[in-house]
Amino acid sequence: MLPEYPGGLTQDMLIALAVMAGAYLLIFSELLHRTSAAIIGAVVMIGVGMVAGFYSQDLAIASVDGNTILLLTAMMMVVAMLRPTGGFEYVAVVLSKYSHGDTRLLLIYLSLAVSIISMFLDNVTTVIIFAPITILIARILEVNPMPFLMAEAMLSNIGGAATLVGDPPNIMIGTAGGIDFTRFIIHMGPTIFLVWLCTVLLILFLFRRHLPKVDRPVDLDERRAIHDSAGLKRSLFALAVIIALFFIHHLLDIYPAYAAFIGLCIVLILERPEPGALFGEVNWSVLAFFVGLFIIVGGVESSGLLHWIGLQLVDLARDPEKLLITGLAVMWSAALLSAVVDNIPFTVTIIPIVLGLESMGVNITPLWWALAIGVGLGGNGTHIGATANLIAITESERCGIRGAAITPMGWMKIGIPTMLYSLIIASLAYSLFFSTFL
Amino acid sequence: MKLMDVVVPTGVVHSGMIIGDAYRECVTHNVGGLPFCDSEGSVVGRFSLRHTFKKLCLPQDISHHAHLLGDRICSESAPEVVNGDILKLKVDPYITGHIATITPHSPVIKALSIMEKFNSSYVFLIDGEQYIGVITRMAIASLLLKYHKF
Repeated sequence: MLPEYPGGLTQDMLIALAVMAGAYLLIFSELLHRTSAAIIGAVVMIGVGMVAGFYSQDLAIASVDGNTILLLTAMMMVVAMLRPTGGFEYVAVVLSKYSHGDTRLLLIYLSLAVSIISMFLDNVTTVIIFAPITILIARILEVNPMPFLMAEAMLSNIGGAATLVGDPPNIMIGTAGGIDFTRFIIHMGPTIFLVWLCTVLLILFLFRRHLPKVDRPVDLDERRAIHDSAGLKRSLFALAVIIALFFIHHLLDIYPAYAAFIGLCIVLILERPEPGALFGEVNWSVLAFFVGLFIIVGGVESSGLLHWIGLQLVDLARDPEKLLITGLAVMWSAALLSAVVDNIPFTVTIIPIVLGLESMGVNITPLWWALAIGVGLGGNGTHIGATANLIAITESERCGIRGAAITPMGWMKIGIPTMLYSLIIASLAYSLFFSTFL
Repeated sequence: MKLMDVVVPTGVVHSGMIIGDAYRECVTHNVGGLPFCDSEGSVVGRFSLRHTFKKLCLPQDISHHAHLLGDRICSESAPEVVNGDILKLKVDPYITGHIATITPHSPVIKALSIMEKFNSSYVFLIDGEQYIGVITRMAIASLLLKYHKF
């Protein structure tokens, strides 16, 4: 039972706020690696909270969203099994051949593939795999790989926003809001598809001078891409089981994480991987970062600060006539913040505030969708907005092709109009079909 | 068998030297790399054929997908190799800091172990600060054949 704060901020809230601000400053300034900063912040929050009496070790453990952490762990392990098979490279080469030298078609095909894969697998991994093969294809066709790399990163970010498992913020939103996979894709899918389509058209327009028709074959042999055909089939089978379970996990009354672990068990039995190969590929740093953030925000929540913030917003959000405006405000502020800072800390912080509004009688359902759209689309604005963007930039610099390197300014020149344009499309869809988001 | 029996004495690479001259020294002595020495003669780096090729004309996107490549890519994608431009470049930006060395008293098995550990086909033989030459797998194998009159 949270106490009321008629008089304003308490000392506990200010202490918790100071610890969180310090941790976030360390994370965003990159003075320390973000995982190190989150771990330090979590340890300080628990220690300070115990001394001040507003937080405890038990509360800290309870604040960690187990579904998010375990779902990410299981999916990372499945990707670790799938990645070395060469299946992704096979898809890229086949698609490049289907484009028959039409680089606009090539951009659409590659972006579509990356987007669809990003709906179910981590989009950073997807871009890490697709970017080098994209550069090679562009090199062979003698075209600038920059438009392809930017399109893949941006559209994978957009694709990931469509599903519960496509992006870590979505998993957190889904867990907090009790939203199942099917409900998530039904609500987000049409809007994100519309945004995706419009963004592709915009990218094609913005890069129209870089996308000529070329008369050169893609001299790559896709048959050699598959290193382990049987392994690929087994991993795809396990992935198919996972995706099928995602669609019905709410009917079976199981968490998405448990569904992912069922699929992981299948691939573990079929593939019998070496523990080193499996566990070495899990991005423990990301998982530790999330755990640290959950504990930090748990401390702030325990201090009552997030409840207090909710009280300040409740009058605006409670008015049904202002709910649409509130949703749009959440969407745009989430997007603009996500463009300049990591969207994970923002999402982790705002979720308890939204949950707090629910206890005050506000219909928070449309706010979840607005938040998911905002954090999903905002990352495209700047090069630091999403990890996939940084991967695209790194690969563009590394390839050494003249004119291919994407500078931060170069990214923003395309990224900001794309982000604003996609947000306008999403806002229109959200406003026109607001009743479906209620 | 002693390492001094299989050492290949070579010249060294200095700051300001061009890649073409370093390549010639490597080719003359059939070695994959040479020590990079400062003005006092101390080995402070390594010039490697593999590293210069990798840095100058072998982008990661090509090497990573080497198994997919057709036969048309090489010459078209690395014109600087075809026209010899890389031979005129100075060696300095392409020197690596990592140096695998052994002493004349080291056993042959140690030389082979270091080559294996560092995924290299050669190792520098150094006595104190003095560079003596390069030990290669090829030289060790050659000496084995010679010793045993195989």
